[in-house]
Amino acid sequence: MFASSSQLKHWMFNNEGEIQSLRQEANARYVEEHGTKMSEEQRQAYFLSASEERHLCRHFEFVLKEFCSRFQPPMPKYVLGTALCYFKRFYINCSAMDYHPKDIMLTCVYLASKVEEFNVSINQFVGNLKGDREKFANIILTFELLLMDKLNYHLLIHNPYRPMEGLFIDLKTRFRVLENPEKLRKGAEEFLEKSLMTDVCMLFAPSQVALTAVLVSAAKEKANLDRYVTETLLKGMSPEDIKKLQVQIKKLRYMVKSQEQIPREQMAHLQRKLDHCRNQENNPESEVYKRKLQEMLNEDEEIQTKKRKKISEEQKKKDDELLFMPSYVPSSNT
Amino acid sequence: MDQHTILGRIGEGAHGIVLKAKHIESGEVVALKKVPLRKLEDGIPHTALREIKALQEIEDNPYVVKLREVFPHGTSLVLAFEYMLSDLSEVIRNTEKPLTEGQVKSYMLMLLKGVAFCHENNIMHRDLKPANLLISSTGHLKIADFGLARVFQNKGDRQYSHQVATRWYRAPELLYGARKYDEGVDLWAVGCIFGELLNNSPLFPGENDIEQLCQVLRVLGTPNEKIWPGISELPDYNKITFPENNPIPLEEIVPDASAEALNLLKKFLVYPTKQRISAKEALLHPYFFTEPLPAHHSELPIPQRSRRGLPRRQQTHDYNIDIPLEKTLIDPELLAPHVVKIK
Repeated sequence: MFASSSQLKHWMFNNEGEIQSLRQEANARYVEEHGTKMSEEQRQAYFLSASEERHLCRHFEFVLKEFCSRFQPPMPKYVLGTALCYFKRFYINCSAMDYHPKDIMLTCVYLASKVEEFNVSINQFVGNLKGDREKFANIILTFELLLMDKLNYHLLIHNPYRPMEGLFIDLKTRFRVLENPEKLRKGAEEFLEKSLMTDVCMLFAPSQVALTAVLVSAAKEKANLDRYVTETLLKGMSPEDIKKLQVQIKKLRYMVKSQEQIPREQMAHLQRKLDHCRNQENNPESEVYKRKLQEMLNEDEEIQTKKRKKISEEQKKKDDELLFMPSYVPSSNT
Repeated sequence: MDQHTILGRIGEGAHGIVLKAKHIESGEVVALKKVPLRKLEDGIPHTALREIKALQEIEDNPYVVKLREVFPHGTSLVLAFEYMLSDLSEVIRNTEKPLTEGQVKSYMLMLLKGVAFCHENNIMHRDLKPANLLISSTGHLKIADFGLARVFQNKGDRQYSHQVATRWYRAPELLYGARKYDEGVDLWAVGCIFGELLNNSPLFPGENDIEQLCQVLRVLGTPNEKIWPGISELPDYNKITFPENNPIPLEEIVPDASAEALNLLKKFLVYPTKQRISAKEALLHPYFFTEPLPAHHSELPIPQRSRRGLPRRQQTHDYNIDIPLEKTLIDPELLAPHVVKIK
């Protein structure tokens, strides 16, 4: 249920401004931490600005979508919806300079596949990528736990696909005057697809997104759903609440319609900039990272060895006790 | 992990060890399920993801074990649950004297409240069995192990795996290989657990999947399209045929049960899943409102974890050296007004 979901409780924001300022804070934190000895100008030249980060992330959202649409075996749409939600939530509190969007993007899709029970093995998954597949598998498995942690372990995503199906069923059963409701499907699906590229999943209930999609499509098809909405769907709702919903729908429609283009010509430049200013500690290909990982593994190993040693000592003690052997006393030659 | 002091080992789960620990800040005792990820080829296991997914979405309920937090520890994932002393399988196994009717009612009441809560939240557990029903130090029952739980959708067209649920508690539609099923699988399991509580032994202890089906069919009779519409469309229905036999009255299977108990049991153990009584409805069954009434939780047995040679504790409360002594004492002044004087 969306009404009691972690999505509503923890991942819905009041307005775009709120999201934007969180992203700016994440950017500022990174610059503050990694640019201690730099002047303001140096910082500007070296680091990505919040809006540059946003361009990059949006670019990778687009790449994510392409990757999902070409995935073999074909991937259900809600996996894409969930993956994009994860990706957006991740970069609300983290800077793209801290974790490279291309790494996080793949991890989001992998985790979303698992959570949505679209079961593919890691080998099958990276089989969809070109290049060093082992490296990709490594990256994904490295970041999986981190991603979950940054998502606060809130894994269940309510996508607009189900509410949209619900609306279609409702139209067919309670609004019989509408001829062939299925003709609205294509337009509605197109709208949902476009909406994925915006932040609507963090601002609106999935059912509102679905309703807007159906209404937008109806307007295109010259089908009038006003009576359905006011007399059937929202029957019994107070006029103020209906007003509120209308405002929401308008905002939603506007947000989806007025998406900015991703400035593609800037992408190469931004990615080069990112290669310099990114946090090498979180780059699985960097030396710093490899050293850190090795240290962690050694530590694990050390604990294991200690444990094993302790167990074998205890066992020895028990055996000795059983055989009534006094602990070893060095014999002295007198 | 730094927030916890490890107190000992509880056991081994499917994906790693379970530790008993104390959360330093709150002083609460927790069970830490540690899932090491380093050696897992496909990363975080599905069971852990499902458990997190299901338990993060529901609010606290007294009859569902609480997932307190999830956190990474090195290359491991750690799930911190409230600590529970034992489980219902041990209660059934360990009690020297069989459970009283009041005690059985009390367990059923708690189980049904937990199941009703899960189903209201669109979660089917899919693996209800006595070992997954944990018992707290106060005798309360809580549903645990949501490793197979699915968040279901009502008008679902989703296909599910039929290889769920421990065999003895597996619903007949699953035994016939159904890929579309609903929360009815949990209700069947509830019926099996109910029977086990009444009989002190499992109702359908099949040795393998075929025998499991035989055991169920022996009691409920050979199903056909008339008593179970849709059965002939189940994937494995035509793979195996059983000789026709009539149902055995449950009175013979559960001889010591009261009339109300039998009446309720029969409502769980029916073939068509939609005809099984829902958890919410079952809570209103006369069984729970006739004498003897459900036992108070203080009248329920509190078994000790006997496994793995953990030392048995005699006292009910651990001494906690972190709490100043004066705080553990009760001021007689506070009690005075409540003391009833006997002449």
